[in-house]
This record gives sequence, structure tokens and C-alpha cells, in this order.
Amino acid sequence: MAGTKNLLLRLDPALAEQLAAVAEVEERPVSDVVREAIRSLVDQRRADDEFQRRLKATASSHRQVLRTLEADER
Amino acid sequence: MITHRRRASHRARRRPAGPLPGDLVLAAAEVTGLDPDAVLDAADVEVLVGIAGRARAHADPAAVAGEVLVGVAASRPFGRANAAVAWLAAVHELAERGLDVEVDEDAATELVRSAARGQLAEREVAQRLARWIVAPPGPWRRGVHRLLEAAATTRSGPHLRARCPVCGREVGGSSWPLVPWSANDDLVLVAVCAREHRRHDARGRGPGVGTDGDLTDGALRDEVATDRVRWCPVVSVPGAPGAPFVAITDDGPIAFVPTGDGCDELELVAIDELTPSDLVGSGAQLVTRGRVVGRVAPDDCCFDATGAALDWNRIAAHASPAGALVTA
Repeated sequence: MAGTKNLLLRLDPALAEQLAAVAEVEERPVSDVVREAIRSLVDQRRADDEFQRRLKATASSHRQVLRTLEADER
Repeated sequence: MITHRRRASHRARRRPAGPLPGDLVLAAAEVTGLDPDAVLDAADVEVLVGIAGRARAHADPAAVAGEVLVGVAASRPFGRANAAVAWLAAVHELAERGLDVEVDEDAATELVRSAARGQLAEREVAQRLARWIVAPPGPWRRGVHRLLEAAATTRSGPHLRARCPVCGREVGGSSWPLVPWSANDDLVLVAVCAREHRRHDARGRGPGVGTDGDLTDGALRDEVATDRVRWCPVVSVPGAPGAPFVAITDDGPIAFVPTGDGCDELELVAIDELTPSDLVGSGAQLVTRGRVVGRVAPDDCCFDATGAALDWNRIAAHASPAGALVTA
């Protein structure tokens, strides 16, 4: 759980405490609780059509740079 | 090497605080084409939270983008395509704040590669991004471009001639040439005729204008005869009647700034010094440098039919002074 400790250090203390409490009650790693929280944020953004449109527009206008950088990792 | 201008197609409209971890996941999903859930399952969520937290601690947009770029590129929280995700997430954060990035593609890729190798810190990346950020074209800049384009067309286009639909005079002399986009526009022709022959005003007003072109309206004839109409060029915003505009008068530049509830009044702001660069962007800074010299009602602004010239004499006659009103 070394990673979990690092995570707690980066978070707002109150939020970290809440996460730790939830994780303890549910007997799950804090990272799982965090992942669920992020999934909730993702779901909210996915429901935001304007956000999605803006993200796609930005990706489209930078398509060549993105392709080049992707190719670097292949 | 080609310089590309990347323009955000939208303006800031929401949180200025910085990215949420979910935003980074969606950026990764956009780059990889994977479902966001799959991206999240393979992501190091602790790193994502850390990147988002550090980015949100900054107020400066370039610093936010720098944190995001270095964080994703160097820490590699996603299963793949971290470098590309780093760039997209960074420029998207800027775009969310209405900021464009003008960047050479080679320079952009090299920046991300250096950050991924750990050769550039967040601050250095932020500094480079800041140099690439350009202000989005504001309404004033678009207005200037429109005028410059029209002027360029006028200089290079053929000299056409046409008849004024009000008085029948031929218009399109070399001193006030017509261009293709104006030759079929009655409003433009009337205004050009007013400028060229000075026998009616820019709106064709003159109920006594006969078929032979002689004026019978005494008041208008007197007005023309005594040269009481004094046109001055205007830098305005096409299609934005409520926006400020600047008239370049013989007495100096005057900004017309809508004011009051419902913009029912225009404040006249004298600008002491004006350079071409002042006429781009929002114009807010330009207005703050000036001094209020009067107020007029919008109806007192008499434009010619092109909307590119304003009768300054009418303004001087109707303005209620708030200071030392510039007069003819």
C-alpha cells in the first residue's frame, strides 16, 4: 500500500480522510475508491455533449502532432 | 518547417480551476480510441489524482498546461500513448480557457519528447507554452481584418461604374472606386454617390431629388453646400451592433462605447495615442487609456451605407459633453 500512502499525501487532508474511511469500511484499497470516484467524473463529462465536442475539436486541430507522438511509442 | 496556427473553436465557459482526473481519462480515450472505462481500468489513478491536484494549484493557464503535459508525459499514467495524451490534455486545458496555441509541429513534438525524457521541468514547459499562446482574435481584430480586406480589394480590383439608384448619377470614379462586391448593392451605391457627387446624403435622403439629379430639398442642399457632412472612417465589428467601435476623426481617434442599461447611450472616449496594434483584441485596454469627452444617443450616429464611415459633424452637434468635447 505504499502507493496509497503517497496518494493520501497529495490529497486535501479532509478528502484523504474521507477516502480512507470509505476504503476501510468497504475493505477495499483506497485506489479502488479513487478509481470509482474518477469513473463518476468521467461519466459526468461523457454526458456533457459540449465538453465532448470541444475535446474532439481540439484533438482534430492537433491531429498531426498526436499521430507523430503516438508513433513514437509504437 | 511549417508554422501552424491551432485555434480553439470555443471560448472559456467553465471552471478555471484546472483539470479533473476524469478529463485526463477522456483525453486518453480520445487519443487511443478506447472506451474511457477501459482507459481508466488500465490507468494509474494515483498519478492521475496527483497531476490534477498539482495542476489545479496554479492560476496561470500556461502553468496548468505545463503541469498536465509534464505529469502525463513523464509519469505515464496510461497504458499507452502517454506523450500524445500529454499534448492533447495540455492544449485542451488552454482551449477550455479560450486560449489558442500557435505552434510549430516539430517544436511541439520535441517539447513533449523532452518532457517525457525528464529533460524539461513543468516550469520550463510552461514558459515555452506561454510563448506559443496567442490571444484569440477579438471582435476588433476581426473588424480590422474586414476593413483591410475591403481596402485591398478596392486597390486591386477593377474600376466599375454604376448608376446611383436615387439620383441616377454615374458613380465609381477613380477617387472612390467601386469593387465587385459593392456594384450591385444599392445601399453602397447611394453612399458612394453621396461621397462622390455630394448631392444627397449617404442614405439618399433628399425628397426633392429629381430624375435629372437636381436637389430641391433646401435643407439638404444647404447641408451639402456648406460641407456640413464630414465622414470619418470607422473601425467596427461586423454584425455586432452592441460592440464598441473607433472613429478616426480629424480631431483624433474617438472610441464609441455602449453604456447605460440596454446600451441606450454611447460614451465618447478620446484616445490620445493610437497605433494599429491598439485596434486588435478586445479594445478594453484601449478604452481605459482614453478620457470620456461626451455622450451621444445611438440614433445620432449617422453611418454611410457601408457602415465604414461616420458623420463626425453630426456627432459633434449632438454630443452632450462630459469633459472637453472634441469639436470640429
